[in-house]
Amino acid sequence: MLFPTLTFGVFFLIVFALAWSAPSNEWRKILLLVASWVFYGAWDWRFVPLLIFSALMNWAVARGIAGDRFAEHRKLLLFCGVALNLLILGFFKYFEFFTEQVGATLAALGFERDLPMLQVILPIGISFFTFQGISYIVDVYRRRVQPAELLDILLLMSFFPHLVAGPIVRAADLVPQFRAVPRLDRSMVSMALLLIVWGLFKKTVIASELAVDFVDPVFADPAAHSAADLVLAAYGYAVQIYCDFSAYTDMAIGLAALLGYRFPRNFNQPYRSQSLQEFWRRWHITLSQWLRDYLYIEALGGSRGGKLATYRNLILTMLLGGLWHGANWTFVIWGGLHGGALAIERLSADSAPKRWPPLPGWARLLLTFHVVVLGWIFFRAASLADAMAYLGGIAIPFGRPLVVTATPLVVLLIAFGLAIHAAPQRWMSDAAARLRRFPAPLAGAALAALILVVDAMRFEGVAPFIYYRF
Amino acid sequence: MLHEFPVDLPDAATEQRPALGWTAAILAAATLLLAVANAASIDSWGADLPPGPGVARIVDAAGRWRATTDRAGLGAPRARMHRLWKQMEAARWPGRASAGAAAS
Repeated sequence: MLFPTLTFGVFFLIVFALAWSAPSNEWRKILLLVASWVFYGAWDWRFVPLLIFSALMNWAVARGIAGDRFAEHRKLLLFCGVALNLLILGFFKYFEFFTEQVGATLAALGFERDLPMLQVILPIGISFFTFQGISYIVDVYRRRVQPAELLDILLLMSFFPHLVAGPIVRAADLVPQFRAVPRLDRSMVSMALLLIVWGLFKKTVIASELAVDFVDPVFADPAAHSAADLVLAAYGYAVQIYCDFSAYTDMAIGLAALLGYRFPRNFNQPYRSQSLQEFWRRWHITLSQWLRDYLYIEALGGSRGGKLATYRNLILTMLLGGLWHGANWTFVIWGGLHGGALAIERLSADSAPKRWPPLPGWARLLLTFHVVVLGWIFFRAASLADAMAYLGGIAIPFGRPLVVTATPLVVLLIAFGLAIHAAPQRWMSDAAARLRRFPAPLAGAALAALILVVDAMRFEGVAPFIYYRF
Repeated sequence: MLHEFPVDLPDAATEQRPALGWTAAILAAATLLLAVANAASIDSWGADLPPGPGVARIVDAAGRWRATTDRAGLGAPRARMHRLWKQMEAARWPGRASAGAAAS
């Protein structure tokens, strides 16, 4: 059940009506929980028990940690809880990759074996709910949050707006909201409606049009395209993945707000960043913060071990962040590229002589953007060989077709997708401040008109969001 | 709270009127208007549903509803915008045949 479909629209209207007419807050949460399982089960009912087990396990571990007086027991429980979460994630996400690598290594050493291939199906959203579970038990262990009621934890991990592709909402943010009776105000609703329509536009018009009309064909057969096409398609993918993923989280934030809950911001005009560090403060913010807090600082020690350890930890964090996206060497290279660039940035800040003039802002922006685009080529390519062939086509343009297949509309959409990063940051909240003064029929007509325009432009059919497979 | 919440407007404290009725009225009005002006989407949604006896009734009803709204001219604005968008999709750089011309 994809957000930009009529099926989801009908589902959401029913959930909205039921949730707001529930006789108590407990009943509201039970209704939302059942609705979330129905939403998740629409993909594959077999994985609903996995989602419930994961929530039950994290709830029980957190209770155990909070109720134990002995530090060693608490630590052991935390270790077991994190290990179990990672084991579940690892099995579904990396089992086949691992067996393939072992098989290839054994074959290279002359010990060819038929290793078991289980054809493991990846449960949608498993990375997101696993990370939420880990952050919850670590926060309880660190006494940053109190252990929550079972119903709250089940809903925290299953709540349908963020279930399959984030944002990663921590217990400290959402559980206090679940405990209180939610309340709507016009500001929140106006912003929510605009976020939903804006997300709808970014996904169904910009991302879908770019993907189907240009980016997918070029990445599928780079040898048949000119160097100019390859460069344009790399920019196009940068715009497509931003418009696709940020659209999902915009809609998730808007849908949750219509049910009375606030989700954190997940994107903030990332391509206007003037450094990789800034980029990661603007792109997939909740994952960046998760990696910073639980992996870079908590598990690896952050910058506590000196400069060299800091550089190592930055690279390791991003390598693992890359691997989180999937079991493929392309994601490892993508993570390594970002980790290496972050370490170089830190190194140059630590060791550049003070008298050296800093690069102007526009040059830093261009440099950062092109490092990110280089990373996206690896991220998008089906394999390492495909990524290298793509880069080869850009670096050595001779003997290739000279025709540019990008249409004027594709170029316009790429330009628009980049230009929105230069828009004033408050444009949407200013528009919401105006919308909240409208009488309901006028606001309803405006909403219908916007959706009608988007629907008239949308590409036929809706492809799943890119981050569904992570 | 750890993060910034986008649905909190900077001056939200000045606008605290309960809004459930207002929200429900907006959603109802938008749904009604879209059902009238965008019957083409309801029709194509019905056509994409997995086949079955219940679905056949939905498809039939959606088709009849679309025909009714089209006869009244209510689907015209969306149809016009869609045609314009398709023309933009088909446009090519000067000197190159448009997609429609190339196909014919």
